[in-house]
Amino acid sequence: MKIKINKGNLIPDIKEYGKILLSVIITIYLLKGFILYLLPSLNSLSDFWGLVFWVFLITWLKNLFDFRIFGRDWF
Amino acid sequence: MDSKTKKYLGFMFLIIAIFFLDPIPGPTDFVALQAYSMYSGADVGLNNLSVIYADYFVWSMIVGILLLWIAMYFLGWNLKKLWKKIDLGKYNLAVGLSILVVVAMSFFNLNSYLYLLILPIVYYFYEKDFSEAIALFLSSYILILFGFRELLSFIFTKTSIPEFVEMQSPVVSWISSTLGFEAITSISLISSVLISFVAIFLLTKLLREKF
Repeated sequence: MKIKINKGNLIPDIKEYGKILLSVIITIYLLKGFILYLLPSLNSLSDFWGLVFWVFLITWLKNLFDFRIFGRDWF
Repeated sequence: MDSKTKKYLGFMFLIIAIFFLDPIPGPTDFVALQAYSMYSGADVGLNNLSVIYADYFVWSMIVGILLLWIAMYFLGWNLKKLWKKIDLGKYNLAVGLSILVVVAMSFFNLNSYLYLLILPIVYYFYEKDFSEAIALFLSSYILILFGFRELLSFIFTKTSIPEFVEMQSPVVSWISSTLGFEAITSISLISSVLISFVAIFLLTKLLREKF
């Protein structure tokens, strides 16, 4: 397992992350009706900022590290 | 022992190991479940299945990994070679994660549609493949729609599935009425979950290769 750290991506690019935020919000509003139409029990919206936080965190970690497990780029 | 006998023995152990290691409920479970019944003396009938499934899963994983080790010893494989044989790509890993999302939603009792969207959104940013992201979203959605979440909640609380299950799902109701039941029963719930696994297998293959 090899891990390389890209130090250039330590500070996130605000413009790129703004784009991600915008597309996440648009996707949620496009798919919300479709999901809730057949599954009305999933109507809790308490974790919206949790979702945004996870998408940001995963994107940031992905840009920061290069994982190579069994000789292959996994994430 | 000559090398040919070793190879045959290795493949035989490998096939038996696959029967135990297969995590998705399906036809292979009928072999491993009988073995578990012989080992622990537990009743593996349909009514008692959700009570013992968590213990059975841990047991079958341990037995499966032991058998896999034996098979790998006979075949002379190491972990790296096994990984190459399995050839799990990013996409199959993500499909596995989308099943895990439903498991986590059931385990932590989460009731928000937003959890279905984390994985496809993140996947789309990395791979820029719209049809695969849609496939990941649909696989979690189909699993919940076909009652996988309700079935898991019975397994996690270790209670048996009641004769009439109280749940709101248009798809499971439709399957129950097609099978000829008046309400959702344990048989219709389990069969709809099996159908959902077949459906996501076909769907993820189709959306990857055709689009």
